[in-house]
Amino acid sequence: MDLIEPRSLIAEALDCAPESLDPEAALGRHPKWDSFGHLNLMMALERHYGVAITDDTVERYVTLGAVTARFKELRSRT
Amino acid sequence: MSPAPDLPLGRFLAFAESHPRHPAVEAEDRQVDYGELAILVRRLARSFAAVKPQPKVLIHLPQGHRAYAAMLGALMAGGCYAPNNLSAPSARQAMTLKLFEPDLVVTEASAWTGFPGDSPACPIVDVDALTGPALDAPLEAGELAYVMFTSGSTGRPKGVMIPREALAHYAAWAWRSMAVTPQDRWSQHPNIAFDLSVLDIYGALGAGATLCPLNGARDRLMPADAIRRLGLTLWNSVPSVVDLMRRAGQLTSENLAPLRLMTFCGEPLTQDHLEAIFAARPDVVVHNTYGPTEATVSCTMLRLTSASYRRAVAQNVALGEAIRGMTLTLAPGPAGSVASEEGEIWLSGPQVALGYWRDPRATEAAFGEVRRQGRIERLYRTGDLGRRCGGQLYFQRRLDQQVKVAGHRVELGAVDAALRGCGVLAACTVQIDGELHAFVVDPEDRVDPEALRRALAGRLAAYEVPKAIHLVDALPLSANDKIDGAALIAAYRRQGVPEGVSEEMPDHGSD
Repeated sequence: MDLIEPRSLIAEALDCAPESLDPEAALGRHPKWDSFGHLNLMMALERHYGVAITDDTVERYVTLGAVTARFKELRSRT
Repeated sequence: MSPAPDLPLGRFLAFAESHPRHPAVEAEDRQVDYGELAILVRRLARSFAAVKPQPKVLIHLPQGHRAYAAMLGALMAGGCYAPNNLSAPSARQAMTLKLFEPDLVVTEASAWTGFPGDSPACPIVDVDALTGPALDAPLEAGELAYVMFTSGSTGRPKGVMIPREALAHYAAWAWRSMAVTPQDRWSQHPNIAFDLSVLDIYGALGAGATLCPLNGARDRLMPADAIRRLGLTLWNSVPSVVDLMRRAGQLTSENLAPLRLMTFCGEPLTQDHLEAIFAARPDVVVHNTYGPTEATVSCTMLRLTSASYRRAVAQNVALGEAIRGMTLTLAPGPAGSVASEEGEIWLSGPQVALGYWRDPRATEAAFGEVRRQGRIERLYRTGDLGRRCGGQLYFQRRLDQQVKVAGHRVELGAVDAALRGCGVLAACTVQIDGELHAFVVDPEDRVDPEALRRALAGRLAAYEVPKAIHLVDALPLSANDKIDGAALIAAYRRQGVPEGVSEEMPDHGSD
């Protein structure tokens, strides 16, 4: 199965343009990445990257970098 | 007849005496019973009073039993407290410390990273390292219960001074109108630096109920399944939390099953919210309440059921009438509204604050006195425009520059002040479709909007940072030479500036 690329996944969850996500993009540091955006993102991560929604993951996946790390981890397994 | 000023503390101590094993605070990792909590309250009270009689206590603790104990401990020591918002930017926290000038800061090792710049000059009490005996009985008390710091229009937070009398009046209303019993299990969702939490803390702990703080990251993001897991019977939050529940697909009859009552405050409740709640739980009761921090959390209430709510819905849900002991009048607003059914909401009665902390000018502008039934009552002019329609009272809009963003109170002037603090020449922030847009004067193309957003994040809470920054050559002025926010909104709507993208806008001053 094709793994959706991190920037596209976040852009879809936050309903924003992928280009608006710079390497520094993070919860509270992007106009659309607020608590509603974060909720959408966690649900997208659960669906596409198999991330369970827990205290730990809600606090971990708050940056583009963290989502990218999960993507790389999944890709290296296949 | 107003209740005794120390009724909330007195009822907590009495219940703890008679039911020491009853659960008081239940969190994910720990259950604290009334007996244990009362011992902590008494020990904290002793250590606070040892610093100074009637001490001013800054509470630097996350939501949970230690913070609640510190509040009750400050009251028992005869003093007052201000809760610090641990999720606020450090500059804001430093400002609260500076303005309040506490006699002591109470904290725990894991929450203490110090204050930026100046360390507090006062003693710091570690709640986990208390030594010495407990206090037997409450000490002679001052007039104040707490000071709640909120957004101020100049960027300097305003400290709302709530007297013990006001807190007692409000808590007594909550116990009665919500029919709270020791069998109730009560959510504690709002940050303790927002006064909506006052309802949870005193409503539950003054009536023997069990308070359940939702401080886990998952529960804050997806709170509906915590209702089921924790068996909550009472839910209290701002209405936008219902939107979170809905978006997570969690507003289900299973998740809401334990609830008997949901109460909302802090921003307009809408028909949409009610329809979603009643679709999941047609038998639950909803209370819509209204009130500013300056009148102790809320002072109107409307009881809504699935059978009756349609009679109380216009562009949003009606606010209800003033609670017993408080008076609400519609005064003609400065905006020049003409209809007698419409006017600025003025509140008077025992729940009105004493004014703003060390700010006589702002106090004089917003507070006054009124004679009612031979007595002088404090009065607060809310700046909210209300309208009566079909026998119901509705919130219309603000008369000034204060807005709500997801339930948080924001002074647009504070955002503009922060922008200027970041080196911007001039700026005007407006709210469009619920979101903040800043129009920043940048005739020489020197401003990088993303860098500006990052700089703002260091000065403002996340919800205060504008969603979009638009660079303009100049700001439009109205006939009396004030910056014309309405013209900016109209221009934005005409041009449809793409979301989150900064762009040049023409000078509307010549429009």
